[in-house]
Amino acid sequence: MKKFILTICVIFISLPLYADELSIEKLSQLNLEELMSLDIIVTSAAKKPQKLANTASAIYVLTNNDIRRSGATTLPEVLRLVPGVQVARINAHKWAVSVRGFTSQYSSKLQVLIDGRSIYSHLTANVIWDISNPMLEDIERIEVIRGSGATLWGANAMNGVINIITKHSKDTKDNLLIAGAGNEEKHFAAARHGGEIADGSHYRFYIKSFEHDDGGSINGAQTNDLSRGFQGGFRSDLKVSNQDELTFQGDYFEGEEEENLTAVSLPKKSIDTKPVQYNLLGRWQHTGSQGNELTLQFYFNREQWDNDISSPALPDFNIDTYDIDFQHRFKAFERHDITWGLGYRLISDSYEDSTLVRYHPKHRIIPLYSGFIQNEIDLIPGFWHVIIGSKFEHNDYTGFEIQPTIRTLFNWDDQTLWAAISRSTRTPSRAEDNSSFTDGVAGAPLTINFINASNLKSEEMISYEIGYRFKFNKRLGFDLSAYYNDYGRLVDISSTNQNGSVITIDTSFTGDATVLGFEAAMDWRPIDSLTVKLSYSFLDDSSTVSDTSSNTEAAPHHLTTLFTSYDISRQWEFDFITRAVDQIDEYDIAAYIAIDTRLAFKPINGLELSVAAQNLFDSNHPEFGEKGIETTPTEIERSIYGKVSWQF
Amino acid sequence: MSKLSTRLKLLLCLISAGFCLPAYSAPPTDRKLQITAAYLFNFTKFISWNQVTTSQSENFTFCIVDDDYFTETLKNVVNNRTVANKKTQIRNVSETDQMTDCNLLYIPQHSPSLNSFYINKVSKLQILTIGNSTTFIKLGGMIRFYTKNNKLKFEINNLKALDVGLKIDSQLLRLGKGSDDD
Repeated sequence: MKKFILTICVIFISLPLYADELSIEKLSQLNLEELMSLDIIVTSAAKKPQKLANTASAIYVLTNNDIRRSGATTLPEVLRLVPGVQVARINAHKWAVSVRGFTSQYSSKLQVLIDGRSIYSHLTANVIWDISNPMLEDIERIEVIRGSGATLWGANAMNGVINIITKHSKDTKDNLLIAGAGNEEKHFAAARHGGEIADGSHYRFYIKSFEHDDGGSINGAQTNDLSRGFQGGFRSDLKVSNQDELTFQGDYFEGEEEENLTAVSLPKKSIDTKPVQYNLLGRWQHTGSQGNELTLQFYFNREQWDNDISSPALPDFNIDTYDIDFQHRFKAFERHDITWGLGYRLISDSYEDSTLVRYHPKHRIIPLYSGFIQNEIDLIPGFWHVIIGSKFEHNDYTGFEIQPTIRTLFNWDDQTLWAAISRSTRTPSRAEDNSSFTDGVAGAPLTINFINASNLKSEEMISYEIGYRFKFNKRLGFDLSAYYNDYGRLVDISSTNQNGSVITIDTSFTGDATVLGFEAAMDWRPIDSLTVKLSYSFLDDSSTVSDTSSNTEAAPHHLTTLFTSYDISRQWEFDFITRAVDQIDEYDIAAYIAIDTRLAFKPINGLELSVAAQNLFDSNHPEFGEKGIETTPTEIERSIYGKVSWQF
Repeated sequence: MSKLSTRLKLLLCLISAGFCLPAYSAPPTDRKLQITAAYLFNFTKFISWNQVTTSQSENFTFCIVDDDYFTETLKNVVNNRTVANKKTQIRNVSETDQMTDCNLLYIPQHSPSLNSFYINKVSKLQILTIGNSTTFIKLGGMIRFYTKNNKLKFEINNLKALDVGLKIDSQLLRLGKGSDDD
């Protein structure tokens, strides 16, 4: 025990100190050569050797309990716990989340699904996190697959896939009330009611609301980035027969987000937008004999952004998605486990004009057809498996895309070794396909046209991965993975021409890049009441062409997370998260260490009182920046909130 | 050691460990701004404005687009020193301002349209344009800062400078990108 306490202390104390500062007088005396040799960021946090450095598989599962104990109040915050996932908060409602590099607000290579519904935006090729606010208490687990998931999940699951899976309604047959408030989380509240309709059929309803305070100011400028929202929804699982189940679920979100645009051309720089997002999903699941499984799923999703004023800076628009998916899994010839599926998606969108951004054409209908097949072969039962498969997709921008993978896996004792080679693609977004941005700088209107001089192509990646998993005993497990990702045809914005008041950027102009890295994670439970999860990830993306769109995409090269959960007694819980994040040169973000902590008291069964703090030891720091349509930069402030949760 | 005291110790250690964490130094943005400011002042030593030396004006004017904070930083760095034996003056400008008295125009923002607007507005004047945007040189700017290996470097478009009669010393040209193997 003593040894353990010592280890923990050593981890903290060994964190590096920050270098000193150069005085302004000294600085102004320096000559050019000396200036050129100065480091902009003077830290090297997180580059500490890790005695306990361990392994992460390409898949990581966050449980409901992890989410509860993290003290996180939003989805991206929860993802901070996952090894190798880069999460940075840009302001109160904008996030940069990615896996294995290319991180920005417009991280285009990560696919995210909530109960099988994609929340990846076809317009800007990113995930708009602020409009997806499922009730965190109702999430059963979050599965994060790092590396290509394209064979199963399709285009844009290039660097990873995040699957958010909510609880079956049979697991929420009670009532839950939550209320909380703090300095940054101005208020949050949620209520859920669940019950049984008939034998084996259940339902639940929920409503929640929240308000995030403005971010911290960097240089005294007013940030005005508060956001608030309301979300309500339901899920119902109906047992039709012993083998068939029907699920219906839906959510409605309505929010309000403020922001200060820094483009000088605007008469009014502060904007106030009202996003609305709602969806309805139906799924039929049939479980036959001998591993036969059939799933048919349909969903509709609407995303809508409104400004209350006429001629707003950013456009009003709405995007409707209709999606139908069929999947079948069966066993064949004893050793083959085959899964195949077909999908069809139809996106219909419509845009109004705005001062800053115009999309052409204003209305478009975009179909997507897809199919996949994957075969898992038991070459030596219980020891050697080979998985081969491919996705076949046809999209409106680039036509036909093939995304195959071959994987192999060895199992012995409590160890697993796996390796994979995959090809995946990222299809161009609506914005990259001949859209036009008009920026009316006072008296000199300017248009930035995104054109494609030659045919648009998908970005493509060939990835090579290897992983090793080792369960030492019931209390200790390790996970390691390494990858080499070779990207081609990345959109390159360096092809810029100006002719009078028109700037033309050719999005069909492309560049290459390679990213390599590894991830390590350890899961340790030295005693029943204590869980320690430590992870470290490294990536090297220095080969990226400086002018490609990846110019705006930048990930910390070193990322360390330590998540300690301790049950002090039956009634008291204490959680402590340390995140050491490396500097991000592209946005001049210094390395930082953030401490999140939570203390909870459960006086009686069902009642939980907790206090949580984020960035406990730092009043404010920036985590990321923006390029393109920029807003007042903000810093992430210390957040402390109290919360009451009552389950009955 | 009783069980409770072990737990207490562990808890205390976890809490106190947090306090051992080092304090932060000044924000890096500040440092980059200071280095940028030092560069701007240094550049003036290697560039000759023939209109400055011949003009009646008593001042050498640094103009900064819409960034009060950087303007203050530059004031601290320049600290009333002279350029070409003229008194230095540092001014924050915005789109509707006159810029005929500017000798140097620094555009900290990244927006291409904004950069293009200012570059075009002063393109006929003998004003050294400096910016940060990736496309700054392509849009007709003269000196662009970029970050490489955590160092602030710059590249120079000498032809644009020559267009308005600005003479850049070969020493500065040599340090800028092109000769500096990128």
